[in-house]
Amino acid sequence: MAQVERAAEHYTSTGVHPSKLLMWLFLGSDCFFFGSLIATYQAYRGQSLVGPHPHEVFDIPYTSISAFVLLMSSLTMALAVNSIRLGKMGATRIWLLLTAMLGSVFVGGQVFEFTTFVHKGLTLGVNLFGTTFYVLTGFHGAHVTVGIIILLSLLFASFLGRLTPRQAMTVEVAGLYWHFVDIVWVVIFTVVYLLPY
Amino acid sequence: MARTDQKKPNPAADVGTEQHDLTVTYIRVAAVLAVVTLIEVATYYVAMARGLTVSVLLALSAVKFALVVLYFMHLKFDNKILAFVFSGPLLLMIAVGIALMALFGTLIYPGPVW
Repeated sequence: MAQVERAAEHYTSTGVHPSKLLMWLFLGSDCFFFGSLIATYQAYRGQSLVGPHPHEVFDIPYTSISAFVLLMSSLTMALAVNSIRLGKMGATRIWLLLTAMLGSVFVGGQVFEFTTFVHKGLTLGVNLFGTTFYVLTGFHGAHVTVGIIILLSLLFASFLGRLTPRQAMTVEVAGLYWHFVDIVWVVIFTVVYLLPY
Repeated sequence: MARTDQKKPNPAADVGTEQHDLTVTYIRVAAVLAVVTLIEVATYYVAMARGLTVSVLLALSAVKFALVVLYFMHLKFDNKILAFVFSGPLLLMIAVGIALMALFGTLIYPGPVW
């Protein structure tokens, strides 16, 4: 009886956990946020009257590795969710830490890329490309940074005993956010870097 | 009085996997993602007609997007309402993006001005 009451407390009338439903709603709204930025980039694609232009600054091999690192962080995040569901807290901690580390490598790579671009003369206000590129990729980098903070918070919570297999949903919801950040980069990598100008 | 029209909580459907070990599935999906990424980068370097390059790259990107959403985010196994909550805004945003590009005359890309 007590279990039924607790379950009724924690699940919406749809049968979906409210945290998960709320995260999906947030991700739906974030689609509009990133969609607007990507659409704006596309609307001004190739319209810069002065340089530097994309082909003068982009380093595709470098960004490809960076994209691959973020993609693989989705694997480690999925494995973290899998581990906590199976009650393996040690493995959960390792996968969470590895995901945060891969995310940090990605953000570090982005900082290096931005620095290189600035040295090549591409600043936020120099042309339409600079403005739309930095705003789009910068906001994505900020999302990844927030994700890293969330992952490290979960890791610390696990050491304090506040994250146990009973809170598997918390890790799953954090994982949804992380995977979303990854799929946004999948789109950005193709649209901004790979599509021909 | 308790409501009788409410759906019963279904933690198994919510979690989506009933505590099965999905390690092998995830590694297989990641391997496919890695291969698709390699093909993407290779496509960038292969000289093809612009329209063909764009089509191939967008298709490969869509495959990666779908794999992550369906398997890593469990949308394939989860409650269908979540798919609706996510795909609704996604499709609407794609439509808005296409409209914006059409408005700016870049839907059929005219080429760079430089």
